[in-house]
Amino acid sequence: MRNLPGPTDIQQGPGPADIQQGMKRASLELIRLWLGYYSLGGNLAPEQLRAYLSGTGILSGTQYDMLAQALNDVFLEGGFDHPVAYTRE
Amino acid sequence: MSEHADRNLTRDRTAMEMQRATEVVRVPEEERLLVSLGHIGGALLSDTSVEVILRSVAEGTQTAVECADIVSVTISRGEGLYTPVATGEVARKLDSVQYESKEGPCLEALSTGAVVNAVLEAKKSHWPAFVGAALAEEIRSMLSMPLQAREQRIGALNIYSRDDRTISERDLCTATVLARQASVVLANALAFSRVAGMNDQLHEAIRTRDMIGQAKGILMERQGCDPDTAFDMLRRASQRENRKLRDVAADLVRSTQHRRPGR
Repeated sequence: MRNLPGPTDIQQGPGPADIQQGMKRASLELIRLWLGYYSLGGNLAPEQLRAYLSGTGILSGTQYDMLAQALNDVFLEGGFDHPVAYTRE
Repeated sequence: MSEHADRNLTRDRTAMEMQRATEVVRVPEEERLLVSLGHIGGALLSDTSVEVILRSVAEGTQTAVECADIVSVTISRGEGLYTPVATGEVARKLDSVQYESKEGPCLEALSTGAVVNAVLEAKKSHWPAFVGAALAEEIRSMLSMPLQAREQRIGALNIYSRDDRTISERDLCTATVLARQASVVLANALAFSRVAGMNDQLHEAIRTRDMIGQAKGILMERQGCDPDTAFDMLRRASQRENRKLRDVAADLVRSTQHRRPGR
């Protein structure tokens, strides 16, 4: 059985550009994304999230997937089925 | 005292009396403005909604500006314009005509940032749809003042008048004072409303975070996994069922609570 990544795993694959693209498509401000991400258990403060999106810093796979999930939850309201990719299927 | 000096004294007295009479006439207008500003300030200081504050601005303007027959406030939000308050249905109707036809003093004030003071009969060819509708309601002149917060135009204060003359300098000055007051009130109220809205959303986010934490705890106990794996399971279920993750988590928490003995 494949070991699932733990909290220290470094995110591979999708990155900040994918999140920014999703925000643009959903017309979602950073603070709204942060609220959704925080409600899912995200640990970054809004300023840290801003820094990550501008290309500074790295995220664990789970923290990235929380961001992607926050966006996908918004897309679900519009009838779109999870268009933002996760770090793992 | 010579006859000449006597005549001068009489003339001076007459001038003084006329000045006093003018002052007597002017006091009520100044009082009306002060009362209006007082009401607006009172609304701002009390725990009232943006709509209540704007209503006090519209009613205050109708009281203080002599030519004002009906007053409305236009607010620009996103791509659209709307009228949150009006002192009469005619203003609401004529505001809508302007929004739909994309013409009229209110739209011009919003797009240029300048005060628009117009006798409508003379603007028939400029704003045909709006002027036609306004004249049908016996509105013959209109003053529209942009409401600005810093550099952003956030709305307009609209004064509709049945008078067929350009709105007087005095009324223009009074309306300017009120529009500036309204801009401050509106900018503060919108900022406050935004913060209050964010506060509500933050509380909701904290409640959801707690509930998702419970769902993860249930999965960790059942599956013997770590928190990240528990989140991943919820995330996969959300994707599989095409539902929001918080809804999946809420179902799990509810079903676990129902299964507990004695509950």
